[in-house]
Amino acid sequence: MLKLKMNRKQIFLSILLVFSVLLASPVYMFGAQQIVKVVSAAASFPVARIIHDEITTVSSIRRILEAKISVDFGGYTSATAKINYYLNGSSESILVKDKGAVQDQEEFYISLPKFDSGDAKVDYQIQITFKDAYDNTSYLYWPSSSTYQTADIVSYSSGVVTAGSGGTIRFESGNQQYGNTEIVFSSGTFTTDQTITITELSVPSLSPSYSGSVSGTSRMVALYSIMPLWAPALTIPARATFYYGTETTATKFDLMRRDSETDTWEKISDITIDLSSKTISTYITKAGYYAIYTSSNLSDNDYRPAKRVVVQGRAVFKFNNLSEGDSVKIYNINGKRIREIKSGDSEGFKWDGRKNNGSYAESGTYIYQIKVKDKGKLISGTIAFVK
Amino acid sequence: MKKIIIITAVLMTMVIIKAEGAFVDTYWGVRALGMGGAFTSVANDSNAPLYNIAGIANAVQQEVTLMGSRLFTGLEGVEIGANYFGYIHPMANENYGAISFAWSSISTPGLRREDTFNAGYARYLNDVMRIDREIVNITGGVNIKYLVQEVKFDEDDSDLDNSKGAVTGDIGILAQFNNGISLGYSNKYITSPDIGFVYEDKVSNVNVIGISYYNDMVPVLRIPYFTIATDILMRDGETSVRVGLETYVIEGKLAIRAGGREEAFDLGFGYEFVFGNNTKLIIDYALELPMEVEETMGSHFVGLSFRFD
Repeated sequence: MLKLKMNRKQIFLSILLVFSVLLASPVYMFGAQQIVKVVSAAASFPVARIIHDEITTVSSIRRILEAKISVDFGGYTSATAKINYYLNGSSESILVKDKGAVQDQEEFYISLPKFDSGDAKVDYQIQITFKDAYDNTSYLYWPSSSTYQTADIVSYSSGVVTAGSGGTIRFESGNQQYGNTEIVFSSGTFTTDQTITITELSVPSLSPSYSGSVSGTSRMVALYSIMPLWAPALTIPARATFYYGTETTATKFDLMRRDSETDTWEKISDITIDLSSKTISTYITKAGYYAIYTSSNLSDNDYRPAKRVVVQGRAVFKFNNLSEGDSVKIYNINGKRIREIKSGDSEGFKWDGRKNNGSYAESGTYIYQIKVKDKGKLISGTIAFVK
Repeated sequence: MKKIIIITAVLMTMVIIKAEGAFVDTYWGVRALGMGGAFTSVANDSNAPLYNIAGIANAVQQEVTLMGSRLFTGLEGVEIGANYFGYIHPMANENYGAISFAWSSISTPGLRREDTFNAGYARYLNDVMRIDREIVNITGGVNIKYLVQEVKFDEDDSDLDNSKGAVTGDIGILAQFNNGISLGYSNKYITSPDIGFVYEDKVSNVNVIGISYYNDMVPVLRIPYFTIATDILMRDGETSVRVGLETYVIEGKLAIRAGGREEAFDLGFGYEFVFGNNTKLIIDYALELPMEVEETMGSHFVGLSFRFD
């Protein structure tokens, strides 16, 4: 048994010594914040991750790669997302998202610039740069920091439909925000295995006898061939879905099939239009050419904006079913033209209340005049923009 | 010297006040519209409360006017109407001046409307300014206005009130020289009140300077009761010019008018019926043809006015 006998002076000196050692410690001298930081970081170190389904093909007609990406930010406070890609050997990078105070998890889309028609493939890599609360930077890559995902730029997709179990032939557009073109064959559709090919054709490059308008007011926006032709017609219809792309803002469409015997287009009456995926679905019994036309049966209201009152910054006016060559003119109540809109995006021709000079218009009632190139008349109406 | 002071004050006001906002200043008063809206220096009837409040001081009879209109006719999907009511009451003693009440409205059913309620007062200022009325008749006036805009919001904006109102005012000065020249100045929405639903949205202050010339019989051309007028209007940093002409034929009973501004060309006429002792019924019509809006058959305005003692 060890007994320490200390007098008051020794006790005081001992306590003083302990405090001196503690005070001399670099932890307490310089690193109180660092300790908190290290402990905090070690206790909940952000575990970020990227969730993305690889894109293997891009339509050579659409030539747009748009990737759906979900990022779990794992507690980081700010992040920058960008996509690195190689196109024909040259490296590019596009910044797609730069934000502070990120959400724990966020889903967004990255779209690359439209490829040239001569490009054969694109190699892409997703890179997220994170920063935590202490400005520490870390990186995350998909597929990895040293590899790229290859997406071939193609115009067709082939697959085998077996006699026993059927199958699905899918032609992926490369745009994950919207849909793909695919045909689903049920089991027993064919008596023998069949190799089916879906090819997307360029509308303007098709033989003149196949292109152009069905009527004076509609336009072909997508064209596919399903080959080989089979006969007789299927007794078990196959579910076909056709992607019509982002180039049109139309909301009403016709699906036509080219009859190889009569060499004319036949309208398919029972179709389902999905504007969110930009696809048209139906059941088919015959192979051949299938084309999507903007509907010739549009009323004036199909062009007008559904929302007639817009508060600055809260929404925009959307004019529908318009394409290149159409225009929207906005007049103030005095009859003075303040804005002309000649193009739009996938959601339509938009007016956010700004005048041609970029400044916001005054609160008031405005007159719009939509000029549809193929319709041969003006569509007018009134809208209100307020602040 | 006093004129210089007045002009200086006017110019200073024009420079200082500038804002942006709603409430157009275009579509009321059939006679004024027939003259292209160039009425600030004419302003001698019940349209004065909207163009230059100072003008009501020159009224010698009570006058009430009603106006209805349909704008941009012929355009399917466009239904805009403008209406106006104006009343002038000159006091029995000229020294007390005149008062006026007016209401103007422009509306698109189911979408949006603007209403303006006016109460005005004006009198001659020669006694104050010590200027001989035989040389120039100077009047000044003020207008108190209540503005309301109503919007029919959809479900997305159901958190917002459907109407917003504000009080503001106008001031006006009118100088009519004995040689037929008149100068007018009107400063409207002088306080630029906020009528925004979400953001600050100030009603634009409007400055208008008008000049006109009147002659009972234009020499050489022999045009009777002829007026030529122009207004220079400044709003939101933009300047626009309005020009108008008017003549009275058939012993002064039939008025023929023409005018225009950058966006539109105007034509108009009016006819005066006299009943008994100084009771008059005046029917006015104006047609405005927009220059830029396509396929419209124009805007049509009809007015009915009574003058009585």
